[in-house]
Amino acid sequence: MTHAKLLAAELLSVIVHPTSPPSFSLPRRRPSSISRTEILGIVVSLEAKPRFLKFLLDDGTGCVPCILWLNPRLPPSDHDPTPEILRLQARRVRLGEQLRVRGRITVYRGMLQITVGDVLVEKDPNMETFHRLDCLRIAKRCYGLAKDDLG
Amino acid sequence: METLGSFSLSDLLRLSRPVTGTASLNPTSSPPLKRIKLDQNLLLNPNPSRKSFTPISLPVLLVGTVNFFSEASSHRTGSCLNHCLSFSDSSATICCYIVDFDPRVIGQEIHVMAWNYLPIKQGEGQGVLEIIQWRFSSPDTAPLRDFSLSLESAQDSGVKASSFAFGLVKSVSLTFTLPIENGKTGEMGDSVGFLAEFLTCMCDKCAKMRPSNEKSGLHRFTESKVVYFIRPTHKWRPVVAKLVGKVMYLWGLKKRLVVVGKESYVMLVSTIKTKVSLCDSVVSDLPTDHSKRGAYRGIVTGIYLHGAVIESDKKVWLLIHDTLLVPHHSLRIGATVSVRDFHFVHANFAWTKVIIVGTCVMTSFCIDSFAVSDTKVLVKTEEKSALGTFVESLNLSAKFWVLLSVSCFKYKFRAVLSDKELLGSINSAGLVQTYSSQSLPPDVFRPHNSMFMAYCNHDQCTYSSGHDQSKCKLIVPLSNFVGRCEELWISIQSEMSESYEVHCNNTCDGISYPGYRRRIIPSDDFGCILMGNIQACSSSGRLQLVDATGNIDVVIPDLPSDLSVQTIYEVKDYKVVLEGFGIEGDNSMYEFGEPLSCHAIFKRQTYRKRIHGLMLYVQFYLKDSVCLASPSRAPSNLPHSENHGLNHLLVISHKFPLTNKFPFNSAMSICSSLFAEALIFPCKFKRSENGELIQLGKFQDALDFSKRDHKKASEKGPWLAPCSLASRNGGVSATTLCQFNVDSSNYMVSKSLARILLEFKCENFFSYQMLRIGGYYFLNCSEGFNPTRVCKCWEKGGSFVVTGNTLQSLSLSFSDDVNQKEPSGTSSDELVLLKSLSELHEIVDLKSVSQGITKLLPPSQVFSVSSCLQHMFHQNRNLYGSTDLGEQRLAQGDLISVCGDVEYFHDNDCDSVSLTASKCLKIPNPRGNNICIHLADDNQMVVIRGNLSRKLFPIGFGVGASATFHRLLLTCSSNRKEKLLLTPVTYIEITSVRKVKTNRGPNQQMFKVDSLIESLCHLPPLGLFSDLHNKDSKVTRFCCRILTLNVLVLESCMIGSSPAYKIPLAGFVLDDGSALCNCWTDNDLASTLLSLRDICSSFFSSDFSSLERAPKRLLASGLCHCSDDYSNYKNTVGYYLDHMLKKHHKVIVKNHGVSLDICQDLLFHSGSGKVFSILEERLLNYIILSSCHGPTFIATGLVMDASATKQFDAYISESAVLRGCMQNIWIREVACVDPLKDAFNLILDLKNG
Repeated sequence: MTHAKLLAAELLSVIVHPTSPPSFSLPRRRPSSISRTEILGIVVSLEAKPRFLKFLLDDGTGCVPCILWLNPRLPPSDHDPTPEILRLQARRVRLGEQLRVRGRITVYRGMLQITVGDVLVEKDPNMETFHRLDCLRIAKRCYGLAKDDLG
Repeated sequence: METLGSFSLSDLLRLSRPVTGTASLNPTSSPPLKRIKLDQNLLLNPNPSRKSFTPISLPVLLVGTVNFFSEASSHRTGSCLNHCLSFSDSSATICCYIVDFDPRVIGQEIHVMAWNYLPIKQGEGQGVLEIIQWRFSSPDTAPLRDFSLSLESAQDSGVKASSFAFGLVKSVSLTFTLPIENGKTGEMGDSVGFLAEFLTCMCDKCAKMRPSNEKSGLHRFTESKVVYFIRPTHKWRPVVAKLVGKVMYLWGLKKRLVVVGKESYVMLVSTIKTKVSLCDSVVSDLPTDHSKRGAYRGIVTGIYLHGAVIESDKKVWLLIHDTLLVPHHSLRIGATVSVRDFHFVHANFAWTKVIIVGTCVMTSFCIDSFAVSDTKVLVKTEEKSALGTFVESLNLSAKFWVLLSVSCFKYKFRAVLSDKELLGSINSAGLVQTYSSQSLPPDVFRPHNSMFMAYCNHDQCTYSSGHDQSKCKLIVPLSNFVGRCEELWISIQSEMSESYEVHCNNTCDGISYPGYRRRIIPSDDFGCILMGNIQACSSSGRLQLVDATGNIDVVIPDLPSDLSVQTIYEVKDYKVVLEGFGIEGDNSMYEFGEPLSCHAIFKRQTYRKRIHGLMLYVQFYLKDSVCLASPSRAPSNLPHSENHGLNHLLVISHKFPLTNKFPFNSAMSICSSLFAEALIFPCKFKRSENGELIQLGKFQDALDFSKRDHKKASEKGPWLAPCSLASRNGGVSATTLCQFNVDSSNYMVSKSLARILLEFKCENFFSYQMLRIGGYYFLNCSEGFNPTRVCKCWEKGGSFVVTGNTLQSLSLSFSDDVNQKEPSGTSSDELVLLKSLSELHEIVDLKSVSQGITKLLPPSQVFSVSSCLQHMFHQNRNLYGSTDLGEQRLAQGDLISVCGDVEYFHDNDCDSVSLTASKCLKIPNPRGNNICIHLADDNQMVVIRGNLSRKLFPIGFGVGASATFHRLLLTCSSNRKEKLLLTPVTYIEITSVRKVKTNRGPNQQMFKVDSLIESLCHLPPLGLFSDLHNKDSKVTRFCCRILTLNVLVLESCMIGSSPAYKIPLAGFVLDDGSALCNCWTDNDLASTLLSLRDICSSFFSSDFSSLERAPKRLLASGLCHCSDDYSNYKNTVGYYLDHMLKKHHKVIVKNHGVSLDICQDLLFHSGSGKVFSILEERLLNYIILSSCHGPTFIATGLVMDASATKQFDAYISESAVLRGCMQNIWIREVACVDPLKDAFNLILDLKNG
């Protein structure tokens, strides 16, 4: 249930299991199944549509496609993020911006992507280094990543 | 036919105001005359200003006779002899001056058709008639060729006078008095007369006094002859002067040998039989060499210093030779003057270039047309002073400079010095003369001759262009100087706006701020000398150089304690600093009109500081300045007391800055007092009869006193031991005094030092400015020496009101090498504003006691920026935080001192971690603007925030300043991040300023990795939620984010009379990437996690279209308080919670949802049973959603055991279990992620693990 902190390269190499809905697992990792992730990178591509925002997040190890839906679920609930909050999140997505994105891992037309839950702008460029190190730390201590894989 | 009015001169005199009249525009018509009486009713404006001419409403003319003044009347008007004729009718006689002069007018009755009348002195029956147009009363006037001047009454006397002259009038001197001794009789007397130089012809006919009336070509007027017109013919001077260039006959002259000093001259002297006639048939031009002397004609645009300096055409300066004899009634602003035979200099002074035309004994000076607006008549009454004689002894450019200096001195010091002190008297020199004679180079002085000798020995007039007078600098009135500096600043802005510098804006938190500019301009670029008293401003507390025209802030690095405010200082070597942010808008709106021009100085144009964003100050060293006028009371060099001669030694531990108590009321902006804190040493010093300093008692004894051990101490008397003390002014360097036997009890001693408060009243702000933190001073003791009693001065908490000479500065040296001084700023770009303490004073050697005193000193460590950062890392942040006091939060932390370079500073609109809510409301803050200061050293930078009014900035504060901030508050913000805050007691000391660099140095912002890693070794490593099963119960740090809310309990409470809220419990689900975890906390930390103190502007922003009108609706529902300015209205989410809880008393929010994507099934419970409004629900939703979308943070917490979590079972029940959160932790601390610091920590973790 946790949002696994991953580098783009790791995320793009997850094994997709053809279940319904599809499930995902990390190669050579202990908790084999993951469904949510948190990545940090720079927006390098942006496609705005009335109902969604599609963007590519580049963290230096790879580019992850992300989709942010702008339409609330139906039927609407009082506790759902309002369209205003969704739009506020969408406004944070700008080319060149460093973003921290949480969301569900999904597959669209055979391609892996993140269905964005929330978006956070990270102003400090040092946060990228910190995130990488944090990913390594968690991979090492939690997912049982082999020492060689740490590079 | 219209009649012409005619009235008597006595009517004019009686009217006693400037009047102008005319007969007709057509002078040929001759209407009949009618006698009228002139009174006020005939004036066009019966109540006019006496400063302008009033026309008479009728056509009028004056009838009178023009003649020379009789000898008796000439005394009345003094110098009228030179220029004026008399105009008289049956009722009175007045001066007159005729523009279109005809020599035949003498002795004739005329009709004055157009005229101006000016009273010379009100009520004294004197006046001058300016005749613009006239005609003879009788049509039968003799032709011009018959004109002659003679003394009719004396024609038959028996005086033998056979000499004669025939020639061209070349020049005429002024009338002067010469003491004479008759060569034959030996009688002494005064000869009044004037000299006239004639160019005569040497042809045979002329030699025989038979000049032909043929063409002038036959005569060659080349031979110079001087005729001395002595009494009684001296009164002919006004006529002879008008005939320069005409050919004249002179009969009845005597040839005489006149001996003046060692010189003798053969000349023709007038007798009572002398007769002058015009030879209009012979026409000749002046010879070529004469015409080279030139002629100048211009309009008078200014008259200064009683007519000594005349500005013409706004560019030429006429210097009138020997002003005592010259005043010309018609010389007024607007008149056209023509000058012939003058000296000409194009002088290059240090600050400007001027064209000077100087008159001399040969000069012919005429009024060609009268002024129509100016009615100020020049009258010279005073005797010639020593200054006048001095001025006459100078060459032309130096003379101009001295006259300008006279104007400057009078302008600047009229309030503090009398005219006599400034200008001197007949026999004694004043300040101006003394100063000028010392300042001028010797080659400007010339021998002073009497008028007689000057005329006789006169050679060619001098013409020089480009005369270098760069040593002559302007003694600038300070208001003009300020004007000039502002003018420079505007030109700098204009230059920069077209260059690169304007784009060099700085950024802070992503926001761009305008560039800061500083220019340091040396005194040579101004060519001015600053002069004035040094005083401390009563409102700003700043040191200023003051004169009667204005003031300017000054910084004196070597400021002594014995500076007298009455002394006038001359500052030649200085640096002007102009700094500030760029001016937006059109610079052309500032018009200064050349503040340093001679016109502005003579005219005394005042300037006020107009550019508010400009910080302008002058730096100079007192050692380089000259004391011009000292007060009679000389300051004492050695410490002394008025009462007992006893002094305490104290060290200044802090200076409290000026606080503006009435920022909105300029009338009340005078600060009442300034304060400093000092530690006083428990011993007294006295000056012995032979000038030595004696210490009374010793430290240990004094400590004993403080312990009330009176008995032991009473056995001790004054006690001498070797050590030396001297004050700054030197002269006395005593070797006496004591051995301080301070032993292992040093610590106790330092604790025993009494802390006292020094209060400086408005009149002693100067003493405050002189104080330096860490400096040593002697304080006059109000009590005598009594070994059995503790002096009151040592009582802790005591305070002193510092008066003029209470404090005396001194320096103590604690090293063996007393000559070793710290090097001061050597960079050419750097300007020192504050010298190091060891440089400031004469070193005082306290070798023998140094150890003791050093240890007595209070710890006053000043951190560098780098060491400050390390200190911040090492500090236990749990000690910091804030205390709620009503609606305001008081920050807690350590007070530290930090020094560094101000890299940039800017206003902060609103700081989310502000100390008080008032700052966020954008209401005028009486404590000043919220500013952000970037302080850097070679490697690192810290940010200092706080309130500081721009008016209270210390001099020099700005980008590029090297500053020490004393008593900054080191505290933590709500997100547990260390920060430095300015407090009301923070004192900023500016050590130096330098030119503003446009780019950062290459080394800046680069961290010293080694020292940083070393400091981080103390941080515990980050843990993981997934490891909690294996952990012992100990405090662990986690890097995580909020995923969702479990429960939130909010309760209302009251703090004072204000509503407030408290959070008894808050439960969140946290996610660190490894696992989920239930975390629990309350109150402050819960408030931080919910960001309740953050600004909720986005809640009301236009993005939320459905909530756009929320403020009004909140206002209506009582959730929001009224503000006059909605656009500026901002507040925290917590503020609205306060008011919501007033209604519900208690609110419980539970999350019954299973999904983690959003906070789905939130249930709200009201303690009061009331229904939540839509807006209230949205507010709660907003709070929870915002926290779930919040940033990554570092949570420090403790794993809770099963028994502890039981109390939360009601809240977490099934849903939390379903969400997969099995572990529970209690959060103790929350902090923002410092990516760099925490990344280093992770590296260590990975490396070790």
